Amino acid sequence: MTQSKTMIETMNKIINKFQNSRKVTLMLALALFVLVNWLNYGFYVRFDLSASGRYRLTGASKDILRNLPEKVTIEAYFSKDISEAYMQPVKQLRDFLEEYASSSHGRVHLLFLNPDEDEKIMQKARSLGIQPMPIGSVDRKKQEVSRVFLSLALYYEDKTQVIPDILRQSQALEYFLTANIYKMAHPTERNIGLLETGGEFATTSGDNPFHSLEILDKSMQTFYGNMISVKADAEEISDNISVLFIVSPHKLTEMEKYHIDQFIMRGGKVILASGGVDINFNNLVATPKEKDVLEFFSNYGIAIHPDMVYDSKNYIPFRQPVNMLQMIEIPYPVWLAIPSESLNQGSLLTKNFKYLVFPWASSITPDSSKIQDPKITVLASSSSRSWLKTEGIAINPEMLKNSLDNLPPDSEMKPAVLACDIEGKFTSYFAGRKLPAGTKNYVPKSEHPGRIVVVSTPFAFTNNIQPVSLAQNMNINFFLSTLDVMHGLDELVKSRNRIQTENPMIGPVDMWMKNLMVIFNFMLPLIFISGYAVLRFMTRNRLSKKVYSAMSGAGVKEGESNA
Amino acid sequence: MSLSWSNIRTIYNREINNYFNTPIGYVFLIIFSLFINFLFLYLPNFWDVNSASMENFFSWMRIVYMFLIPAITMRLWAEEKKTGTIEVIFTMPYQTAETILGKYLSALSFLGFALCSTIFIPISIGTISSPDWMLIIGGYLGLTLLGAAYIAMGLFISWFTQDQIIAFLITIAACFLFFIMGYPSFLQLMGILGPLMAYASVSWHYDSLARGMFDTRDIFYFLTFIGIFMYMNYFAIENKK
Repeated sequence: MTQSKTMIETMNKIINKFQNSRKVTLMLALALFVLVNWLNYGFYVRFDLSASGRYRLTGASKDILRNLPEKVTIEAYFSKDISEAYMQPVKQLRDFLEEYASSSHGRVHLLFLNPDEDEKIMQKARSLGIQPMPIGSVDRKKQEVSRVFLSLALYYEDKTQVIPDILRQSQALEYFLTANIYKMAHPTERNIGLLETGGEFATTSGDNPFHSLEILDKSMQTFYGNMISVKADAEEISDNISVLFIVSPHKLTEMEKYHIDQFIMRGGKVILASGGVDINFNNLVATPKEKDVLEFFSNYGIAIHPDMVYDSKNYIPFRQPVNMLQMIEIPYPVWLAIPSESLNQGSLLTKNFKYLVFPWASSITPDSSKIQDPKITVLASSSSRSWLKTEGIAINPEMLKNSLDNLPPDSEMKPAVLACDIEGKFTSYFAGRKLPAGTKNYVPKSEHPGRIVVVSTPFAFTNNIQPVSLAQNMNINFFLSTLDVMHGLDELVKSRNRIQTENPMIGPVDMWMKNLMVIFNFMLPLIFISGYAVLRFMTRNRLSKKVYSAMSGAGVKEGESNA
Repeated sequence: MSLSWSNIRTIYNREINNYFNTPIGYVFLIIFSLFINFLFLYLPNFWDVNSASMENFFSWMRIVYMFLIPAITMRLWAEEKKTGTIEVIFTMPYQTAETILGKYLSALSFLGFALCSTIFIPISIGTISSPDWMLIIGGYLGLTLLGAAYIAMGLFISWFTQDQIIAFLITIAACFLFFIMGYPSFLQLMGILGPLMAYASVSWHYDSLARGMFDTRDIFYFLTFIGIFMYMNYFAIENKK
């Protein structure tokens, strides 16, 4: 009894000591800080504040996932021992994958596997062709490259798809995942044909970046695979080609015309990227395209004019090096920047794009009289401060730098159509014309409604140089969105548009505006702070004077009363 | 312990008047405003970057904060100690927590004033392009939380010295330490403690907010960071008393 009493007393003493010890309270508070943060780490709410929703799952992806006929399993092969330099991006990837799976309402089953810890998992990864990726890390003494697993394997029914090295694709991971899952769930053949016309445009990287479609071709790989080369001079264009891409043909033989024509008549879909002029990069001049080629396309309601559009309002300036360190910008009104206001926001093809850039574009006029049940949508136009040049078209920046000093009269300024979407039933180019020898199964009229999307410059989709190349992502997304829509994959467009450049570019800004912005930013804070200071000091002075006079007044009264 | 808001307000008014009753406060704000505008517009050149975003601004602010916040907090306790007014404060019928809160909120308000002087940057970007406003708001939220955390730390450090310069230098060092703790080169040195250090660093959480990600983990981290430094400040004062 006495023992237990002593024990209780001792316990009470200890408790009191602890309660009164601030050091213990502090230690407990620190421990609580660590514990609460650790617990909070597992239970959190996260959402993307950005209007573009670059870290938010698009509604399109959610819809695609929630409507999957079968469940999909994602195996994430992630090494645990990741270099410190990659901890933050890998954490973001894990968070994203968890959010991706939870947004699917149970249609996506996500598993994180670490091949470094389990030999069976390692063997499974190897059998899927998943290899550890080299990532650089800077060690205390030397620079090292470590090999880690950061890949995904997708399983849908009996199909398996591997996305290797997702770290390098993290910017577009949502699209990569959704597109691959969609492709597995809806395995329809989608082949994009690139018409070979003997011109200089190719999917390889050539000497001239303006003639290379390499980046566009690579961007298509995930969903559409590489472009298939189509030769139309010898045999007909296969119906396996779902969309035919025609890039600025110099000239077309009768047989090529016939095969393109018949492809369209059979309901084939075409993307035509061609201006009315050919550009010679040796002497930097543009000459009108062969009339024959322009006449051929005009049969399908597309009048491409042999001119070049100059825009004094929406253009990307040319950057000219002055010396090793300095660049100056000179007006270059033939690199047309088309802001969202000039892009058709009602069409899925151009909706949500902040900018497109069309270098060296011609004007086009859609002609509905040549189409049965036409549905013509103008997709992009230049500003109302643009004009056309048909003769002596030079693209040399030196020659164009003063072009904005002598603008044509206002009567010649008007917007020009730069891209349009044409749907309807077409009449064959060969109707009333002699068919090329050896042709058969001639179709004189469209059997099914066809679709042609025209962009009045081939350079919108080529590799390009800075600063035009800064807009390349958006131009390529415009091309890919067009492919998606032509394949009836409207849901994918939104998911794809996520890959757009994160920050909207600033359009051409006048020098006076730039100066005004500098003055505005430097002067206004100065004025406001100084103004507030003066106001405050004046108020204080007034107040002190009041207090002083009140006090001295009181003093006088006091004196008087004393007297 | 119940706190009296009127006591907190009294301390707050006294402290905020200390900032604004002398020309130094205004000169400080003007220099800050000119400096951050210069960094934003010219390093790198805003027109060369050609992007309607304030990412560059938020990135520079992380560095500017390492000097701005210590300058705001250095005098909060140190000056009181040097001039001996600390004894007067403690004889007044204010609780320690009320004094700390009044001082903390006044420093936070001064920081808010400094941040308001940068509001012309998003306005001018908005006139020439269409930036992502939510991203900008997220960035400012991150700056406010980062500033609030640094102020709590700076206030705590200011308690330990009578010399404002020493308080300034130690706070810079502490801000720098908490900032680089999230950087790979520092984490390399930490071995297995790396992930813990990364989580404990302010940069790890601020970067996430500046990217436009609202994550309760980051908010919670900043709130507990502020709480723990305020408590440590309270503890240190009570211990001395």
